Amino acid sequence: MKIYPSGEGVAHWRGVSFCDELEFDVFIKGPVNERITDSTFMDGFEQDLLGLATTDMERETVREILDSDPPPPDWAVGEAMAECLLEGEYGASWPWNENRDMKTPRASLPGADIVGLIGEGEEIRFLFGEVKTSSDAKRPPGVMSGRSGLVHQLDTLRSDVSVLRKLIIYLGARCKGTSFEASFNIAAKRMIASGGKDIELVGILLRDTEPHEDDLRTRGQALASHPVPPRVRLDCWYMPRPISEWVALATAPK
Amino acid sequence: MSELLAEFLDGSTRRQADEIVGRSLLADLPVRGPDTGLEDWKFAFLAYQLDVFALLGARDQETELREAAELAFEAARAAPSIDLSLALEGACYGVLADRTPDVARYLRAYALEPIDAKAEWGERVRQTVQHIWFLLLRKGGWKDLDDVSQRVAELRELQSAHEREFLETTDNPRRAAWELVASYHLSKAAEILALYTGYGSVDGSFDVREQLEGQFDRSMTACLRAELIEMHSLVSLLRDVSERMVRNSIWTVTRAVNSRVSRFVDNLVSRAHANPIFEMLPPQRITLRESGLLGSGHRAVVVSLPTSSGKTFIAQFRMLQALNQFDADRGWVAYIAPTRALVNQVCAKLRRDFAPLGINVERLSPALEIDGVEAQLLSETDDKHAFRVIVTTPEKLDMMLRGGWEAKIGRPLTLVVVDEAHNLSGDERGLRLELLLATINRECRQSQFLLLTPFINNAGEIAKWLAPDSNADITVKFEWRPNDRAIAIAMPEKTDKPGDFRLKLTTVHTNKNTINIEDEIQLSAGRPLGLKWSNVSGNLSNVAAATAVALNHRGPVIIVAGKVADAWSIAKTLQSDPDLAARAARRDELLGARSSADIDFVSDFIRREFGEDFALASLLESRIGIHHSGLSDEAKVLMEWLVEREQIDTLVATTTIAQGVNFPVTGVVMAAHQYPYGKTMPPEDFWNLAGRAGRANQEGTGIVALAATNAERSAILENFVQRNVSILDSVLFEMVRKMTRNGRPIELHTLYHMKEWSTFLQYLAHSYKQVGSHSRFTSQVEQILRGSLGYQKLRQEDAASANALVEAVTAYANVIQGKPLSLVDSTGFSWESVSRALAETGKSGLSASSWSPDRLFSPGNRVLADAFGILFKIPEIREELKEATGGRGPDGTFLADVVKDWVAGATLPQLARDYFVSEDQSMTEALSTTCRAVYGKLALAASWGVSALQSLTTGEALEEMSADEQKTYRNLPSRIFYGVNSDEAIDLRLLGIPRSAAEPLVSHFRSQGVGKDIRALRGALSGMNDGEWESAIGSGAATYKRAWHVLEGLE
Repeated sequence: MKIYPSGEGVAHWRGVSFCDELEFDVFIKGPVNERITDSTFMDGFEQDLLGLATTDMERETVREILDSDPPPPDWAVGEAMAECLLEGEYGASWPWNENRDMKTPRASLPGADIVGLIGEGEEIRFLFGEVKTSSDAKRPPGVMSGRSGLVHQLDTLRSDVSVLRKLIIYLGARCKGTSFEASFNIAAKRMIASGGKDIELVGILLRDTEPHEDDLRTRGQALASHPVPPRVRLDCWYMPRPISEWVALATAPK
Repeated sequence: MSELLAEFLDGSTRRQADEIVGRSLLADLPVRGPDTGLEDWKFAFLAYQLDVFALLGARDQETELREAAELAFEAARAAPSIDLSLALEGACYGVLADRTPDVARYLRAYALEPIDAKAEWGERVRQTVQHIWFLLLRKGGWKDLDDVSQRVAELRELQSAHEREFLETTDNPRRAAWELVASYHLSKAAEILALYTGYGSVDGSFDVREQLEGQFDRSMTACLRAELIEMHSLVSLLRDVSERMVRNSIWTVTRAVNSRVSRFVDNLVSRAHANPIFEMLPPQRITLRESGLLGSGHRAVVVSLPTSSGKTFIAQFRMLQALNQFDADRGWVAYIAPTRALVNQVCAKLRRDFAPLGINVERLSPALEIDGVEAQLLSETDDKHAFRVIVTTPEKLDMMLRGGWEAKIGRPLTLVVVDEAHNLSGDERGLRLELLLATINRECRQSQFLLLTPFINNAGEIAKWLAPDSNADITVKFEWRPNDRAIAIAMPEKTDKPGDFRLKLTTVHTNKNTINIEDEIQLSAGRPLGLKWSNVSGNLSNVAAATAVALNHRGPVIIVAGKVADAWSIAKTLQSDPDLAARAARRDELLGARSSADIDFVSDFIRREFGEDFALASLLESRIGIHHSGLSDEAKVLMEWLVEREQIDTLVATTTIAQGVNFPVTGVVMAAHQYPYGKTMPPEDFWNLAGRAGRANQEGTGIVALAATNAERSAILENFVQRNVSILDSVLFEMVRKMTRNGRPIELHTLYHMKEWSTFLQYLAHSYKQVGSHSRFTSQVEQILRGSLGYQKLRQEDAASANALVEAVTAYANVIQGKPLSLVDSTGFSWESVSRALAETGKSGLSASSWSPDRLFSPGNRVLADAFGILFKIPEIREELKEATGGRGPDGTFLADVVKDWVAGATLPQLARDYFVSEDQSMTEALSTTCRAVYGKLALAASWGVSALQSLTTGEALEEMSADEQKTYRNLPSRIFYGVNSDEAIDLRLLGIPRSAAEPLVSHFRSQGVGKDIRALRGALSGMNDGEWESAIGSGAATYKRAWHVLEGLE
């Protein structure tokens, strides 16, 4: 349910409330769970360690570390949630990494939390996004501002070619030889031909508070003040369950 | 991906980025810094990088990958700041772009910091991985390879002490663990590659590709497990780069060819080698392995490669193969090169490389006869000493084979290597080469051919001509560059201050991927070299001189002048530079100070040979050299040697240096682009010369600057550098067409006075003699003609002319029927000239007894004067002899006197004073004229002429002589060629001893009772210590000894 759709110039922002707890549970235990376990690789690192023997390096310490079983951090669940929402709402797509070790928390990507493709046919573009989760009572919450805040990170994505480079090369490697390859090529051409402008940026704020337009408004207006593309979208999702419960819900056995 | 992303870049972005790349490559000139356009550069670089990554691993898109990697490599090098990971990444692009010499250069320029021993384990491993891959890519000799193994061993040693603590305290231990796994595999891969690079195997096995694949697969998997995105990029890049490095490895290229090749490679890579060769240049790899020259059974192969691709090196492998193929018959190889300088250079290289394999390499002088010494060398039957490779000029090989030497040697000629084979086109020399190859093809049963040319368009046609059923055209299709290069116009422009000017350099677009920037580069302003606007406004020499001094701080520069006199005047202008000392200091500051020992040695040699009044010695002290026909051969070689050792800052040469120059400089400045007599330098020669700009082992872009004084000339030069390389054409084709154009039948016997037709008539006479019967010859005329490239082309393109030629040859057979045609072969004259000379020698009473070694060169003896009188009437030789008189015209007595003094050991100053100086000439000019006459013309033409007359008048006399007498008799022309007066001195000259030292050494050896044959002399010479040199030669012994070493390529 949209509650405060708005937009100016190249920026759009809106708040959406996820009222129904049951619906949220289905969502987090279904697509989000699949997303954080998006891997056919399960615990099979013995094979990897056998390979390590060929380097003549010791394996024991590495084995001990990989044998441990830490839970995913809440921000990892937040990112998975954001990816699922973007997929459902805007048709964004994410190449899967079948080799990922789900127990290894992803380090934050350099410069963007999520990297994917958006659009259809010849209109496919790169989609880069930042995700923040916050229970902060302040409006806007603290995660929106400052050097590591959502808006500053989106600004970096807009202007820093070297950040884009790492992300796109990585995405390219994931797409190569898969059904995503053609889409990737279309997006790459659009991006290059437009001098880096024809991409989409998205900022996702995940909240467990009451919806309020002030969460996004000033930041949205700041982003809208840019005279030129890329287009930026800010979405704030208001979830019915506290953030502290998300990890347990997302990783609960089915 | 079908199209590169780079093609989608906005035009202005691309241009701005190219401009930044161009300016960064010219950064040591006064160009604008990268102040604008950086954003464009960054974005273009992104596109290039994406292209490379998209193409990694795609084996069917290597061409696209090479193009993309080339752009990325260029852009990476233009980065305003560089760290280790960018250096590594850039180097990877360079390897994928097949720009390996530039990669080594690029990495050498980067100051590699040592690994931080205090860093925590994760960082230490990360640094080590980058460090060792950097070393592997740089491959600076064995040290870099050994360092790789050592660093990897260190990781193993330190792991137990540091790894646990690191993993237990780091933020994200699982991720860190995966990163270590990925890194350990990368370091193992580096260790494997280092071992393979050095030894050709890894722990006794040769499956290096599979071993590397295993490590990269696992490293990649670890990156995916933990989503290590930057490391993932590095691993995917290094994976392809390693594959390329394995492919470039000398071991891979030469694997399983034959034992000789293996031993050769062992030697090249050996730790004993100062500069071990671990990898092939891309054109070498492509030629030898990918295009299959190694292992090829083709009889005729034309290898068409860009300049500086290391063609001689490629030829060496083919030579070893041919030697192996005919080992049982002790087959031999002939390597022909167009100039004396190249013959010397190639011979020295082949000797150095082949001596450890027990392959004897001999050089024959270009003198057009086989003298007694050479006869001895060629007839050697002892396997230990018998030659397997002969290096000489095409004319000499022609004389030799027509003289029946293949049969006399008693072993088969198995391979002919033709260096600079594009010389087939052009002039009489080209025709002679064409017909020589046709003769070899017809008469030498086991002969195979390897023709080396700069890029030509019809290599396949040439290969097919020599062996229709078994040929290959190996052309490296892409425009490979050994280094970065800019072609530019240098032009002065008047400034507001009276007398001052600014000198600007404008890059020119060419079809060879040279650097092109929009900015004009202001090289200097004011009055460089003390020159005023009025001195440069119409004077190309002065513009060239001013340009050269503005480039000198970067390294040695060649100035190419139109004439010998211009070269001297440019050198003088450079020497009188008021800022000479300041410039030298700046150069030393940038490139390091040099000792003057080499310069002192060469100056001393020049003073001893040319006297105190010759300008070169003092020019050398200002580090200015000269290279033109007004010098002795020895002096020219020493100049080349000094340039190669970077002891000379500016070498002033004439355009003839484009033919066969083989030493690198950082800049070439052309005051002229035409050969003497106004012939414009062909594109092949220009690119050959341009190819020297840029040193293989030093940083810096090669600059080729063409001097212009006005817009009109600038436009001419722009056209000049944009001409395309033509196809290689037969001279015969044009000759015949020219004759048939007027519709009259070709009467061959009337054409002998034209050199090229004389060459053709000699070919016919030789073939007639070999066929042995008139009727068989006339029935085989067409078959014989088909041996030539020109006739084949006539047949295809102008059947009427081809038929006319067949008719003419058939008619000519009647002219030469029953004539003693072996005299044609032994003289190098047409039958018509032979018969003329026979008549004249008869009239003059010349006979075998006239050629007495004791009397021929004595003052009162008339034989030489008469002989030259006759030779002045022979069209094949008269022009050269006339030029040998230094402009006096056909004066036989004059020439005989010069020859007698020359043989008696007269010094160059003596010859200059007695014969060549004219009233208004300085001693330098007179000595120049003397060298041009004596070294340039007289030595070769007079010895050839005397040898020809000898063979016309000898008859049966030779058979009545003892072996020693025969040798002495045969050696007479060589006394003229070498300017010495004894058989032993000829031996020594052939062994590279300078002329002035030869006779004193002969006396020394005689007193020591050293044997008279060349083998004994060679042994005695190499065993002489400094004291013996001193007692043999006295003052100057050290200089002459060293000169000998340099001339023989021993230094």
